[in-house]
Amino acid sequence: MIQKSILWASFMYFFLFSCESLTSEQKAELDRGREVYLTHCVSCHGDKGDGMGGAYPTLIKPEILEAHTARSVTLIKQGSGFEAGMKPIDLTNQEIVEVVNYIQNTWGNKAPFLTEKQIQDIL
Amino acid sequence: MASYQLKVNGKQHTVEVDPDTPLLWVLRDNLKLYGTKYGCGIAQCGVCTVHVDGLPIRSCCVPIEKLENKEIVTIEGLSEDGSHPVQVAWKKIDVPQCGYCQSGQIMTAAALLQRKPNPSDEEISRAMKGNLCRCGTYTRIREAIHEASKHQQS
Repeated sequence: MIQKSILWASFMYFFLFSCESLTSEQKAELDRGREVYLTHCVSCHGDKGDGMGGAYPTLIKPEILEAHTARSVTLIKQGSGFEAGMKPIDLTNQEIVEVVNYIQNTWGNKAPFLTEKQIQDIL
Repeated sequence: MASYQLKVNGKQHTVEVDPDTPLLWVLRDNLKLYGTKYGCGIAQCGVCTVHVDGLPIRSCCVPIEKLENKEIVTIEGLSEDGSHPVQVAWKKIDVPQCGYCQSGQIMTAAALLQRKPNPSDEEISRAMKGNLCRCGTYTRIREAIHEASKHQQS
């Protein structure tokens, strides 16, 4: 009986934790981010964010680290610097926030939502 | 070289090309669909935009090996007789100047209207931002998208 209760409690904890819902503002942010993604990123990184072989890297990460965020922002703003690599994309800081939040919270990715101030600090 | 089955504008094609050949060159050189233009070759200008599974994709940078079993639509396949609402609006507003970027502009606009049938000025500006026009026809492009939106809904 005790074992059953523990199992049930664990299940409920996992269920509630995994169903953590987004606020309406976060959903709107992801919608705006998807539009930026479709305009500037989807051709190379794909609609599922899984990239294309070695040429265009996947954007799906088992864990989003601060270094990943900083690299994304820097790549968007400055490009990779390599001749055949990613070129800078002409986005406002607001658009960068939206698209990075979209990338970092889609396809199973999960990360805290960023603000424009945090993006400015990275730049 | 390898053989690929492609579905372009509703028709099946078989092409023999290298796996990393960009879609743009398969369309132009193999399938003789010249409506899709070459601009920068690095996905920065939007001139080569086509639809892949309904999304606006820069054909200059997508290798053909990634496109089997995808629905590809070029400007030639948007409508049979130029009757797509975006094409009708483009003629009515007389959007093009030199015209080079226009097939890419029209394909991006058509994809936008599929996602957002009644876009605001801001939504249009943001969606069309990746398509450059050296003649500066941006105000007419915006007007034509609003016109196409009205036409589509009527």
